[in-house]
Amino acid sequence: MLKQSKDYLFIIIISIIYFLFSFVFNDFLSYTMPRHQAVQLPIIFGIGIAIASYFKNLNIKELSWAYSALIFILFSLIFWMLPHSVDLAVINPLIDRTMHIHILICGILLVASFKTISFEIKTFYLAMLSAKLATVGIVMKVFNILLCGSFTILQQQETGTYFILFGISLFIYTLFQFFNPSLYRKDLKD
Amino acid sequence: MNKIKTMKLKLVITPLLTLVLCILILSKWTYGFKAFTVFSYALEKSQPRTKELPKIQLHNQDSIPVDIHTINKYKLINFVYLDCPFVCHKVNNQLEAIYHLMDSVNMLPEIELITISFDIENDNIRKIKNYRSHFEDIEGWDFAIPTNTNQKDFNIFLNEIGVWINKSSINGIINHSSNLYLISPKNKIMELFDPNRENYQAIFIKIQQCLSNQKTTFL
Repeated sequence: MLKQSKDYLFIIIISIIYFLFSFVFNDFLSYTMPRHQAVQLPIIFGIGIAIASYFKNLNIKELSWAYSALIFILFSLIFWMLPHSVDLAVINPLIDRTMHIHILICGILLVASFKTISFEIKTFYLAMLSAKLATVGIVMKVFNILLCGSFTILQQQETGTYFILFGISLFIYTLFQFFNPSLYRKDLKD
Repeated sequence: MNKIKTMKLKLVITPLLTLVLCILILSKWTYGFKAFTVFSYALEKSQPRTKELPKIQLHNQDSIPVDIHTINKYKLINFVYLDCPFVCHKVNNQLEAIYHLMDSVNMLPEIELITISFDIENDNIRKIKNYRSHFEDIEGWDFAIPTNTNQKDFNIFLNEIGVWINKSSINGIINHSSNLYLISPKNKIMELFDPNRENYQAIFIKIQQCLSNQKTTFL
């Protein structure tokens, strides 16, 4: 009974956070590129991660589907990082909503597939994601050409800085995970 | 044994199919990995690039009708809106620099510059006349505005030639492509230049090359 109440409370809190960031603050968060790309989307992705982390049963049991989910997430992130997609999301509310739900699902799928795949693949995947983020960040930071028509070059470069920071942070996290002996033991136990 | 084989096959095939599907979607979304921005997407969508310029009715800063199709010269056309906070002025300054370079090699009798406003709702002849006055010493450069049309129809014209525009509902700023179009005397789009990527000298050299190539073809 207590567990059920806790679950309901969690769902309510998560729904409120999602509603705030996807609907209430949407105009404010879509106003500049750093807010849109470095605040709104990571938070929605984080909500997805929180959902799948909270519900322990939410996992992809079959390895083939777990790998497919990882590929799907990677391409989804590429898709929503394309300047063309970013612009359309800012302009068109329907595409914006689709993007939010898509990113939320990606967050859920990431944790759900991580529960199944091996430690080595997890580490490799996270390292690849961090490299991807840092590379996109560098491109945005050094490009003196406007990529997204809805924003400015200065905002683009600022977003690039945040992406580089995200990439570095994720890489440090991956390194800590890699050299954390307790995780090896847990993996071996599994 | 067979079950293990099937499982192994599934382990490869499912992710592989996902990968192929994702690549196909991405390829479709980017016109075969050629268009990654709204600007390049609009251009790819308007292919073929070298085609006849669609007809459009314009009036210049002196309220005189401008019919691009009856001007028997090369035309260098760009699209702006007068309330633009930055890009349009930068492009017009580059166009001015190109104009002076063309003047230095006596190219001006062959070419006409036309700057067209796409903000029909806010720009008018009085405004473009005022804006034109900033380029006083320049002959053969018309600032024009579409007439007898509405924004919706004019947007169709812009789409046909690959110009992307979008007005922000939040701050009213119009995000847009800033390409320069070189039009032949027979009104075919010959070449496109991106003043954000190329400097005015490079654009000038390309215009010169286009014109000399065209002359060689006619000879």
